Amino acid sequence: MDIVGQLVFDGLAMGLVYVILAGGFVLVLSVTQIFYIAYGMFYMVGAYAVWYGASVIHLPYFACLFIAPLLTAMLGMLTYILVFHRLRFAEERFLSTITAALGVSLMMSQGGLLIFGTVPRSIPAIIPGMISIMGANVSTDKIVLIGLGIAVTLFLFVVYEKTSIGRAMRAVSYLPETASLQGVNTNRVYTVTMGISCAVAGFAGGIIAPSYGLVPEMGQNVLLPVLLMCMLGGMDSLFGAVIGGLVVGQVLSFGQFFIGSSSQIVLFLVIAVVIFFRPNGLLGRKGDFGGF
Amino acid sequence: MKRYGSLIGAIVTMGIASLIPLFVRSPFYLDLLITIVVNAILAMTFLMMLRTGLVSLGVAAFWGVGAYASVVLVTKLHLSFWLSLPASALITALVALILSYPLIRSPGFTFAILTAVIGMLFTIAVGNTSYLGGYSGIADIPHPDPIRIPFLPPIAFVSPTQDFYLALFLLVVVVLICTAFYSAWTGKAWTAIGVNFRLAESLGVDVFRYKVIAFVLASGIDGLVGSFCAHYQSFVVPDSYGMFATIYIQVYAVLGGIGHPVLGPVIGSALMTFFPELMRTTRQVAPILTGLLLVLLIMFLPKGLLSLFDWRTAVVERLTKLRKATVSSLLLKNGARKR
Amino acid sequence: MILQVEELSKQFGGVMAVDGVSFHVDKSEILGIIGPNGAGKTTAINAISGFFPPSRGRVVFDGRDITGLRADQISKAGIGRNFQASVLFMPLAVIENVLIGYHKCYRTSAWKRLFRLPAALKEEETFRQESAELLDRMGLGRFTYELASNLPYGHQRILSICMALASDPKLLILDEPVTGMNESETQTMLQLIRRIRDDGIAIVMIEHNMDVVMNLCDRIVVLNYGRKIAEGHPKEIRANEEVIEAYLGKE
Repeated sequence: MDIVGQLVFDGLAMGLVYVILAGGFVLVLSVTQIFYIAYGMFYMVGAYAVWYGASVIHLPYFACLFIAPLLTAMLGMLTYILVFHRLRFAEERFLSTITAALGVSLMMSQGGLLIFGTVPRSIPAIIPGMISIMGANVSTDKIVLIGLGIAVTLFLFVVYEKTSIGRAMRAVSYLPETASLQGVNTNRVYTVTMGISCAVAGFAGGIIAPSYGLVPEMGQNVLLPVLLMCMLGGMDSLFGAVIGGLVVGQVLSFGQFFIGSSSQIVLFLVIAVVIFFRPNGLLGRKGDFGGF
Repeated sequence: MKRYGSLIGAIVTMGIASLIPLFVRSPFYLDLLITIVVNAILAMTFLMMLRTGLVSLGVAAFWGVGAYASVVLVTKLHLSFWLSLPASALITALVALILSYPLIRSPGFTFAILTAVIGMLFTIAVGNTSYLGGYSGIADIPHPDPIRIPFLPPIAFVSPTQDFYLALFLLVVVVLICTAFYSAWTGKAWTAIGVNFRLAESLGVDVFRYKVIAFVLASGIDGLVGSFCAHYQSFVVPDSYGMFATIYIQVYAVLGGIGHPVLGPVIGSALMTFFPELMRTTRQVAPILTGLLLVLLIMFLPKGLLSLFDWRTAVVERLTKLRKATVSSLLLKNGARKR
Repeated sequence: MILQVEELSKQFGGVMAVDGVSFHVDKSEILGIIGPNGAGKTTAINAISGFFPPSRGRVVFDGRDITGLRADQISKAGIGRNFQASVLFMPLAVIENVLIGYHKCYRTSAWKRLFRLPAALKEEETFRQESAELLDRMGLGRFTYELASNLPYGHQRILSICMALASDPKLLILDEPVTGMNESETQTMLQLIRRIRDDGIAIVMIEHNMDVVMNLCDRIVVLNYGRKIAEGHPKEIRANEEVIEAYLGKE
């Protein structure tokens, strides 16, 4: 029973991080139509920013957790304004944005490598100790991670569903031209969406740092799982991305333990079948997008 | 004369290219050139599918299928490389054919996602199969066995020079195949399907069939190149055939110019391969500059480098038309009859 | 009789766009299909030409049952069509547009074509010449190498008919050929259509312009709410009370 509890919380912890990243990725994709393969980089930057703040200049952890997302948000918005904004009307938009995103990804990953080196880093535990929940021994940090993760996920939902900017985002994601005709400042929506998405990516990096440490490749490593979750849950549904993230997180956690790495193949095949029958994912809506 | 212009240009280029190993001895640079050739061919296959509207995000997977098929044929079944080369191409084409029934029936976006999944699936599947070496791959793959032509000494593959010539030979073969298909009716059908598939169908074009032809042919070529790469590098590792490889392939195609299915990939591949070498100043900074180059190029030349030449020909055309119009209006004034 | 449509029906969800429509077309005849907006004319045409299969009914062309076949199969069987809006291969030159229609006529085998053997090249050249002649005859000669997107609207509509003609059809379906044209363009189009009919091709034409319909068509079929409400010669249709009511009632 111990093990199961352990696995559940591990799956939940990693899963929530993936959920946040998948949510942010889907947000960018559905609103700005950018297949942002550089998205993982903001996760990496956030993690390293928090590490730098906490371990090098010894700021309190939660202060770093506040500053890092602001940093990544600004970086994300800047990148968008400088690079992607002018690609909105390019002829082969899908391919052009992927190329640009690759360029951004290269710059950020190598830049990160240069600045922070190749050594894995870690942050000392924020709240040391373990708690026993439902028979499992879980480190308090993980609980904090899970708590914060849930908070941010809820934050994303609240913004997307309840606020006026969220409504604008949804309008733009359904019908970009019509939204602008209705008076929505699409440029502002694009920039804000980028800001929010990169902010939550940075936050995710920050909360994962104490429990799981940092490696320079964390930005690239996280891309493929996130893509998978979005494909499974729905490329334009925030809720779908969340579901996808949770499912994949738990399956990988349990599967890895009980079956080993062939669990990944099974997962892939299941996802392939799902996508074949429901090309927009389990909860996807639109029939066609991304410039096809 | 105009029709044979590009043929002459191609022959001249090939002639010059085959003289390269006389001047370039360093295995490092030969390796670079071989990489350019390989990437160019892969990018050409991407464009072939793109022409019909198929965005394949799994090109590298078929490349990998060819590579691993060849490794199995040569190391486990002890076939000669020269048999395994075409066999791998056929095997890859067959795999593509089998997959084409579900894949190509799907709308464009689904096709892209499904090929992306296939791309990821390949890496994971091979990585988890110990027969295929798992994630560490298979090493010590033999080089192509020597070519024995009667009355001539056997050509043994001892240095990158022979590999270079083989790569060049494959390039010629692929370019011939591509130009044959593009200039024949198939190419017209592909273009029509890519521009407006409903209109093409109403004019009698069997859209499904031509998409399958593009997909299977492209994948077969990917397999061919895969076989070559496996025996040239002497090792295969599943990670090199993953999603990022496909993204780079697509970038080579886009940088060159997607309207130029043969020349574009060569330019794009050459640029992306040479540039980090030119920037060899610091090994560290090179990727950052490459990334910057990518971003700048796509922002200012979204239609690829060759669009510079298109612009020039468009200007030349316009000037020619202007000249003709002036001349004809002068003739009219002088009482000459309009045709 | 070159085309026979029996009890053609098409249902979208709960809506019967076309409901049990039957008519026939004779060789060398111009049949007009008219009716208020939303009567189901274009839907019927789409079902016949293979855009989507009909929900019910049968379509027999030239003695062959073509019900539910794909658009390219129906084109190969000998029915050509144009589209309501300017549907062309916009980035391609005018002659390239027409050449795509010719492929059905290729006789040399695929291998000969791929290897660019003289026989194949000669055939291609023949088709190029025929395309250029077709364009000349239809009045588009000077636009042969122009981009399709650069043509004025009236010429684009003529081009789309040229493309349909290139596939050597026995029946040509025209969807609103003169809509959006001025008087002189309309007259040109009428002459062209008459010439096509004189060349031995049957024509089915959807049109709203009553002058054109009455002048051009040998017979007329009237649809309303997906059903056929009248069929006959222009004079009869003009006097038909139900038809008049259908049109006036809509206003």
